[in-house]
Amino acid sequence: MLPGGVMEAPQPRILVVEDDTAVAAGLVQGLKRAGFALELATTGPQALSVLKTVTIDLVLLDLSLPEQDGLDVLEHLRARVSVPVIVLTARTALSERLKSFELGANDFVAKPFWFEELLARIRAHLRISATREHHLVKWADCEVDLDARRVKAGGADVELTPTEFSVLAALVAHPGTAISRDRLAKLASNTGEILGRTIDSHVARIRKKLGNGASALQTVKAVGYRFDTGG
Amino acid sequence: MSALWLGLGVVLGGLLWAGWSGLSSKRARAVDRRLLATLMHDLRTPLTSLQLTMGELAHHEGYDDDERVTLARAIEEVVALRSLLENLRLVEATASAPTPVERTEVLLHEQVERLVYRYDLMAKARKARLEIGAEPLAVQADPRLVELLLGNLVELALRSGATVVRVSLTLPEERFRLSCEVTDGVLPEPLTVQTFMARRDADRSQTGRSLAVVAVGVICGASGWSFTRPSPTEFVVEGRLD
Repeated sequence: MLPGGVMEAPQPRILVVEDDTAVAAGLVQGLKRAGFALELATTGPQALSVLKTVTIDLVLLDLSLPEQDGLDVLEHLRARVSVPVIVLTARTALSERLKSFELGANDFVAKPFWFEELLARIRAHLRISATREHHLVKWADCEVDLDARRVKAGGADVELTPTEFSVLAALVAHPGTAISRDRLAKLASNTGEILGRTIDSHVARIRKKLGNGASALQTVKAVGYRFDTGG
Repeated sequence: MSALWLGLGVVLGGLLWAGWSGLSSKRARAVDRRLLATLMHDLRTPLTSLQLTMGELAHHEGYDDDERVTLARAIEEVVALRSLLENLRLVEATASAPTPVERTEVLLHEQVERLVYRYDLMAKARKARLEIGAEPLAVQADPRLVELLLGNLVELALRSGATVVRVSLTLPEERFRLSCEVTDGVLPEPLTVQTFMARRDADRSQTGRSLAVVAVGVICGASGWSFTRPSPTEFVVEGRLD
């Protein structure tokens, strides 16, 4: 608490996912000095487990991780949260950079880097993130957090694949609107990898996972689907 | 650190020379290229750790003059080691085949603005100042090569002994003009790979600096841009707007 009863803004919390101990130590030291709260994970599964229990404001993700490749971690991570993700990597090929952005990275920093540059980029992404509106859609006993990419049904977390989440997000973002399968595929995909004819199977799986809230995903004959809560 | 730097320089310089002189077969050159690429990849993580440590040490106060000079030298050597490896890899590849350029959209002004953070420590260690100004511009280029090009220009400018280095990106009539200017000091002349190889044995003390100028020329050539030194205090890179 600051003098005069003003609450101090909480420190942004950064999740560092880095298996190299020397680099991780350097990052932790610098970020602490810069005033951030930190969580450290040395593997992908550890990082995903941290995200389940702690609210994170930004992720620094190394791509060359043991157990699970960083790009795979990125894909899973994007299915859960929409916080900024900065990829830090020694894999500097353009293909790695493009793939990272395709999977939802917000920035790509090639190793080796100087801390001051990384810090500037972290601050820029946190500023952008702080000015965005928080999008939460609720119906029946379901809840979709479009920013955190998190879904709940009956109070419990629902595990959707990244594609399933993107399809659901595209529907709930356009309530009451009939959307064709092809359009839905386009809306749900940045890269065109979702095909219109696969939408039916994605929606079927989403319905199964949503339970009571599934009826809001209505089939529109000869067109596609509509998100309608009847309200 | 110096020994490591020198050792790597000699070993890699040898590889480069063997590849260029035509003594090696195509296959041997391919092996050299892969070796350099692997070496650079494997060095990226320890170099990151070194840079983070240098950055942390630079924040401490209360060093005496000798300690400050030692730290400044260490920072310079880390910067030099990184550039040497990146430039060697690029020039070695160029010696045996055209430089492969993978293009994507690069926000050139952002890359220019980041130079402030990238060279902050080196500039402070040399008691020099970096002044940056950039108009917004997206170009189709290889982001890794653009980063290397800009880094080389600023490093060469700082190593020239300048107290002020000005980098500006402007857009005069359907082209962009990237200028790197020093208020004092003398910038080296642009060099081709061939001239560099011919002069290399005569003056090894300039190898790192010359390699950086060669690399800038190679990157500009591969990207379709021009690289000139209109005066001893200014480098200029120009290209048509995409």
